Amino acid sequence: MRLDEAYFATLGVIGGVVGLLAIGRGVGLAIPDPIAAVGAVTVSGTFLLWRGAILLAAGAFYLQGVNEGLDRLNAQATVFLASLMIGILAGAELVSSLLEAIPGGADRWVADGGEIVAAVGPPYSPAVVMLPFAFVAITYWSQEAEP
Amino acid sequence: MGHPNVGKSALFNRLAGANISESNYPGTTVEYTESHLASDEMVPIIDVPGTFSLEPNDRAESVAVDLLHSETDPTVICVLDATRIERGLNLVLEILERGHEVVIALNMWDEAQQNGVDIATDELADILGVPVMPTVATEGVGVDELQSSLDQARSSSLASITDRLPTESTPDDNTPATDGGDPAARWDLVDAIVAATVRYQETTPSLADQLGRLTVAPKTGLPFAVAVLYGMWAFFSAVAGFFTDGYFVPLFDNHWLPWIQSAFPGEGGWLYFLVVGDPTATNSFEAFGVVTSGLFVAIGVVLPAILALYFILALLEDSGYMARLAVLLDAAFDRIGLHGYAIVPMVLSFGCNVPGVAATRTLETDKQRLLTMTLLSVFIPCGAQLGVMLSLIPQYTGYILLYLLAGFFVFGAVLNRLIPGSSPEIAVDIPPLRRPRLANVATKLSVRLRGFITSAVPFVLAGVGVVNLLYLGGVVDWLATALSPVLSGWFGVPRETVPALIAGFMRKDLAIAQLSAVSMGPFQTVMSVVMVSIYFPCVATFAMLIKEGRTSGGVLRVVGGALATLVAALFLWGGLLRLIGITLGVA
Repeated sequence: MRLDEAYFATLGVIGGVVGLLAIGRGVGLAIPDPIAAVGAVTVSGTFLLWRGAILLAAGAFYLQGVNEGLDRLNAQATVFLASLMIGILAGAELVSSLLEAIPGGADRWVADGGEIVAAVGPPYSPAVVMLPFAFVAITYWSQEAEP
Repeated sequence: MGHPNVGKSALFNRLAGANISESNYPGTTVEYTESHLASDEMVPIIDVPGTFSLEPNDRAESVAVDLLHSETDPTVICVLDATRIERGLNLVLEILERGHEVVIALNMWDEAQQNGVDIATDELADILGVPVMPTVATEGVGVDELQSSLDQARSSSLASITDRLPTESTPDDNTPATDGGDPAARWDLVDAIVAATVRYQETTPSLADQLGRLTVAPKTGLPFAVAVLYGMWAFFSAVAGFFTDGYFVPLFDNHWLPWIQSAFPGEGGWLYFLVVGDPTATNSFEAFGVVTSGLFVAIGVVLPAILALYFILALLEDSGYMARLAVLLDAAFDRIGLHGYAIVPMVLSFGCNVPGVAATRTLETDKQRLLTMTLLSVFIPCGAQLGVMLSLIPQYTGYILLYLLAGFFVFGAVLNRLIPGSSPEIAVDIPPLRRPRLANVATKLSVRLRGFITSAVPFVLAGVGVVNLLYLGGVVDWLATALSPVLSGWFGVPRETVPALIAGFMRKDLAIAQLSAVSMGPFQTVMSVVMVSIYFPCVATFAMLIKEGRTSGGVLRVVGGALATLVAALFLWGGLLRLIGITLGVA
């Protein structure tokens, strides 16, 4: 197994498991939030069912790409698509947190820098935690750009 | 002139120095735009909708063809997609057949080279007998050369083109295409021209090509579409919330409202009621004066929502993803007698119903246009309305939207059976995925926002004024009493929702804002928002229905169809929601 295949297989399994967890919590199953065990990660908030479904699909795409063999361009594109989905999910969550934190309320136009930093700090959703790892798929794009 | 989505509007913008919308999907332009050459104001220039041939298949194509026929001795710039030159050449030959003087712009020249399409432009110009210029309109490449060549525009007969072909490229049957309009002979000539001037080199698909393919395959494309739609919704909510809740609510509620309540003279008088509204209101939604609620709804709530939505739409359009959504949703639309490109008017309607209704011109038959116009005006809430819903009832907005979309397809399926006419299948081009250009996104945003500010804001302010005048005249109370049995009996909402229904004639966003002042339970709020959404289209959409109805089967047919549908939808779909609420024990 190639190194990138092992890497994205791991990411796929994590995405799939966390996606299932989010779906379970989204439909109201009594599954504990992992924040209790892993302080920096939380599976909570609005649209949990949808976010879980997207994570699950991204995980499945990683595994599908690995299964097809990442020496093939089509498989690399599948993995890239999964990373895009993680990117959309994480980007939306980070933008929401940031934009919620910036207004300072009735008295100030902009909140203190410390408050803003705290708002975009942990705990993070699984998509945000996975984002830097998902970025690795960009190497397929840059490889193609090389002569 | 040229096929849809070959870059005509981009080229027009370059030549005229204008700012009209250009997008990476077919059907952006449905009406012609006039301007003049930036370099010579004496030379008029017209951008027309795309057309596949001079035998129009839809209203947008008719606009282009009619304009060509109505102009006296026009110089026609034929814009061709250089990556698919053979298709555009057929249209060029048709235009030459009619005796027009032509210059050819081989647009998307950069993509043609990347795709290994090697076109000998000098040979092509020699054979056709007209100037041929490679261009990349979005980057401005070749535009100056194209402009310089306009003086050399020529007409050329098909017989003379056949004569100029190299011997080995002459059509097989050696029958020169006549200028009598035989399509088969014209296509033979196109093949011969392409054989003589174009070489296709073998290229391997890129990662972007593969990604493009995955986004239209249902197994990978649908989950990705869910991610994109979620991202759109999250961004829309975040940006609208940032401006409205973060800045405009404190600004209006803590500063503007108290100041205007105390500074405006004549508290208790009719003018005060009209302009400021309730002197004891503590928030701008409930005051309901022209310069309190009216201004707050227009500027503080709707403008940020529109800004966010139009930004997302511009990205979707320019990236080429809109066309991919069309392909993915084709099967769903097929069940209601439409095809995937009905997504274009539908998505535009989420911005504003007016351009959405106008965009139905790209649909082929009167039946499809009537169906789409009716469904859009009844079931698709505009961005302004969504913005107010998001501000007032964020926890229910998603569910309301889903319920309305379900109504769109259920009533679409019923109307498809009831409305006579055909719903032909079509083959569509999927444009390549492209990186959106910031300048074009900014242009679109500014054009659309300017349109909103000049057309919608006065309607919101006038809407508040009209409702307040009706209050003062006792009309609202009379209507509330008259409609009370229906409102409470069928829909389960209080009679106080009548002012919102009146405001809904002017603006739906205003109507929903007005509902916030009515004391209701959560389900009643959802019910009344659904009612206002399905209820009569706003006056601007209604005017557009009349305009488009004239050329889509008749005003009576279109407006009558829309009104009959909305009455049925209001009572059946609204009644069904109440039934669901009663069954679940929440109504």
